[in-house]
Formats: sequence, C-alpha cells, structure tokens
Amino acid sequence: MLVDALREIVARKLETLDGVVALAEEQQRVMPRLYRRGDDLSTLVLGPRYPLALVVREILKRHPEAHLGVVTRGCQERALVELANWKQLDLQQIEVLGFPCSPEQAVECRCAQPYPQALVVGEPTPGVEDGLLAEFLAAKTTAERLAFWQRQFAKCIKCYGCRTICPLCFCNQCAMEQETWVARGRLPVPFPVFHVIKALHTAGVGKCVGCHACEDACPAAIPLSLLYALLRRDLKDLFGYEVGAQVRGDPPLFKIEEA
Amino acid sequence: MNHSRKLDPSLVQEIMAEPGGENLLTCWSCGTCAATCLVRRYDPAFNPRKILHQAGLGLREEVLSSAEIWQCSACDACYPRCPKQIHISEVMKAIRAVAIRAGYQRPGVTAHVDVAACIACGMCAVACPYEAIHLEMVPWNGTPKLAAQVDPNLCMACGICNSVCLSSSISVEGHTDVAINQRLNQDGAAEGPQPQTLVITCNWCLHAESDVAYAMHPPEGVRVVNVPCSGRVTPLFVFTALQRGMDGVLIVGCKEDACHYKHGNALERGRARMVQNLLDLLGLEQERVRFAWLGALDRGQFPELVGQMMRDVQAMGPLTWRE
Repeated sequence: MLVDALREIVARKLETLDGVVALAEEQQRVMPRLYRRGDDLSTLVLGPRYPLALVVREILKRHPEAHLGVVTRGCQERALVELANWKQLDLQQIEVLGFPCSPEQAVECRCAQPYPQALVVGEPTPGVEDGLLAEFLAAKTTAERLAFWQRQFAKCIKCYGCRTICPLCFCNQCAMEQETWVARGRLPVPFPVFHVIKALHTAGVGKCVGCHACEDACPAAIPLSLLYALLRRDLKDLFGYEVGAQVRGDPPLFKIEEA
Repeated sequence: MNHSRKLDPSLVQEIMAEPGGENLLTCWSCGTCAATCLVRRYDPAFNPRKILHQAGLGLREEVLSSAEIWQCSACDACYPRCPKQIHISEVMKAIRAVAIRAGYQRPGVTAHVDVAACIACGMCAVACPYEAIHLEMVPWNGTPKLAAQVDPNLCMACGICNSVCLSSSISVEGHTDVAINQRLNQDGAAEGPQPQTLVITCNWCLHAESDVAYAMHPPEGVRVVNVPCSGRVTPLFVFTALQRGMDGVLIVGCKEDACHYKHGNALERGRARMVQNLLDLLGLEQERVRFAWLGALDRGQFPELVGQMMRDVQAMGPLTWRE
C-alpha cells in the first residue's frame, strides 16, 4: 500500500524536518494536518483529493523559519511551484513527498500529469487525454458554445466556493467581490464578467494547475476546469508557458513567442 | 537675458559623473530630438534640446527646478534619430539623479499602494517600465509587512502596475479601476439604435489634431475613452463593457517598439490575444475585441481605424446574450 510506505517515509523525514503537512483522518473526518516528531502517523491518509498548497503557505507564514515536508500529489506540487512563482512561499523550505494519483483519479480529473516530479512512492500514473476538451472544441459551433456557457453559468449560486478552495487564490482583496466588476445581490450573475474574473485571474495569468478543486467544490457542477484547461492550452500556445512545471523568470503575458 | 552669474560648471561635472550623463556635452543642439518627441506634441513647453543645452551651460537652478526634466518617459523615439547618438532619456535620468540629490521631487501624481491589500507577489515590480517599484518591509498595524513600494521620483504614472495587479492594490489617482470603468460605461453608453463600439485609446498615439478632434466628437454609436497607456487596459474593462452594452471594443496603442511607456503596448497586445481566445471559448466572435497599433507615421489614420471597426461591429450586429 502506498500509504504504508509513505507513513514510513514521513516518520524518517520527521527526524530532520520541522513537520510534515498531510491529510489526517481523525474522528471519521479528513482534514489537513501538520505532523510533528513523535506523532501517531496511523491517521495519515492520501485522500480524498484536497488542495493542500495554500495550507502550506499559511503554516510557513506563521513559521517563517520552518522546513516542512508536504505529502502531495502532482497537481499540488505544481501549485506549490506556482505559489513560489508568485512569491507566496519559498520552495527551499519545502520537501515534496510525492505520490501518484490512481488511474481512476486521473480519469476523473482528465489529468495529463497525475504524478509529481518528486515521486517518493509508487510509479508514475499514465496521463489522460482531456477528452471533454477535445470534444468541446471539435463538436461545438460558436453559437453552441455561447449557449453552453450561458446555461452553465446561469446555474451559479455565487457561493464563491471555486475561489475559496482554489490553491492559487491568495489575494486579500478579491476582484470577484469588488462592486466595480460585480454588482451585489444579483442572481443569476450577469454573463460573463463574474466567471471571467475567476478564469482570467487563475488560468489566464498562468496560475491554474488543473487540480479540479473548484469543480469538485462547485455545488452547481459547472465544468470550470474545462474552461481553465482551454485557457491553459492558449497560454502554452501563445507564450510557451507550462503552468507549475518549474520556477520561472518573467511571468507569461510579458512575452509573445510568435512574431 | 544675462545668465552669466548663474552659470555653474560643477553642474555639468555632476551630471556627467552619473551613469548615462557622460554624453551631455556631445549635443550640438540640432533639435531633432525635440522634433520627434512625443511629449512635446502634447506639451510644447517640453523641449529636450533646451534642457540639454541649459544643463550643458550649467544653469543649475533653471534645470534642476524645472518640471520638464521629469516629463521624459524614456520612450526613446529620439534616440535612434540623434545624429550624435546621444541616449537622451539616459541623460535626463542623470539630470534627475542630480536633482533628487539636491532635494527636488517629481511633481504630480504617482502610483499609490494599498498596503493592507497588497500580497507582495511582485507582478507590479516586473511590469513597471521604470523599475520604480520594489518589495519592501513596511510598518503596517504595528508589525512589518512585505509590500510593494513606489519610488515617486521614478514613477511615470502610466498605471501599468495596476493593470497586472490581481487585487488592484496599486493604482494611480484619476486612472483607478473605478475611474476608468466609469468613463467606459457612462450613462447612455449602451443606448442607441445601432451596435455600440467602444474605443480605448492611449493618450500618446493620437498625433494629428484631426485624430484628437475625431476622438472628442466621434460619430454616433462610437465612444472613445482615453487612458494613459494601452497597457493600463485590463481585460476586465473589456468584458465589463461588453456585458454592459458595448458590442465591440477596439484598443489602440502606440506602434510596436515605440510605446511611450516602453512596453505597455506589447503587454497589452499579449493580453488582448488572451481576451480574444477567451471570447472564442465562450462562443463570442473574436473580432469583437481588437488591438491596433497607431504609429507616428499613421497620423490622421485614427478615423479610418475606428470606422473600420465600427463597420465590422455593425456587420456582426449587436450582442444577443445580454439580459
């Protein structure tokens, strides 16, 4: 079992690290937890999928000198890299203890890279081609796309769950709550600015790592990940930028590759 | 006029000792810089030739106290044309450095940081054409906090920083999100019998008087709004305008490599491409949003540029998805 192997690795790492961030199952609930030396590791679990990256940032803000291990899957490793690119944490303070997603999870997330670079247990799970994305582009005319998104966004109850769960939404002041852009107390939200803000401020600027946390959190089942995956693809085509792949220099948008 | 009593050769030495100031005395006052200067088109009082000449004479007070030494935005339109190959914006920088040491400050508004909202991601510092922004520990609520800080003597108030700030925690008075959004969406903007075209143009690319006159009194169905730089235009302005009643948006910036604020237009061109892609994904015609260059050689072409956009928007018809 991957989890047994990981618990052993975490126990060994805790001899030198200040702590390890992982998911813990306690009293029949799973939540993020900071394990310290000597803690009972039998509560450490790998699932369900949860975006741990922002939790790591919060812990490091409170303990600026700490060296932490992070038990994580591929998408959250990429999220940690992007948080570092946006100067929200220092990767020197983090050791990724990576595990692969199961093939079933990879299919659920339509994930191209369902494993981290720093894999400490298991084997890389083969990536899954995003069928929905290809289907969307091939099968829908312009008018059909418009009808599709209007129908999807009309379901939104403006709960801000997509924003709250996002491991790359770290602003103190969110544009989705500013009346310059979004009128208060209006449902359904007018098409399309509300959802465009989330799309552009995450995927559009090269932050969205495709972890699907927003889609999992959405009570209205809006396929946000599909839109963000399409933008991520555009970002790669236009600016040659691969989100979360590595520590970058200048952010995307500042240089166009083509003439 | 008798300047002789005010001539101070040590000013020349001070300027020439600054990096970039070495070529001060190379200038032979031909005035080519003044003829190509973008700032001068708007403010005839600004004259780089005169400033270099006065500095070379050592007119310390005249030069250091003048508001004009702060006006050069280092667009470098003059640099390739100077027969003596003087990098004039660098000389201006050297003169400013001497002025700052003497206690002078840039007049006018500069970017302002909302320290409470700033998350110190550093995007503004990367985007600033003038390296005027740095991340620093500043006192806030009794504890130090890392936040963007603006050097008022380097800031040119272009607002590019605001355009890349996701939380809008840095802004320039008069060109905040709220202020620009109001200009874009004033009452009545969305009304009218025909499809509405919004033109957002940079202050510096309307060279000809006929262009300026057209922008002030555009034909029915067109609204023209000026911003300091096309690089100030965040995609949210564009989508908000479309949501509120506009049927097409044209963003006009300076010619490639001739941006008044160095790279604002290049930044905007990339962003406009992302906006077009997003429009396409959402099922809207990409051509409803366009970015166009308008260079110094295109003077007088603004009405044609806008007219073409207006005709294309009319052909596409009004947006159908608004409530």
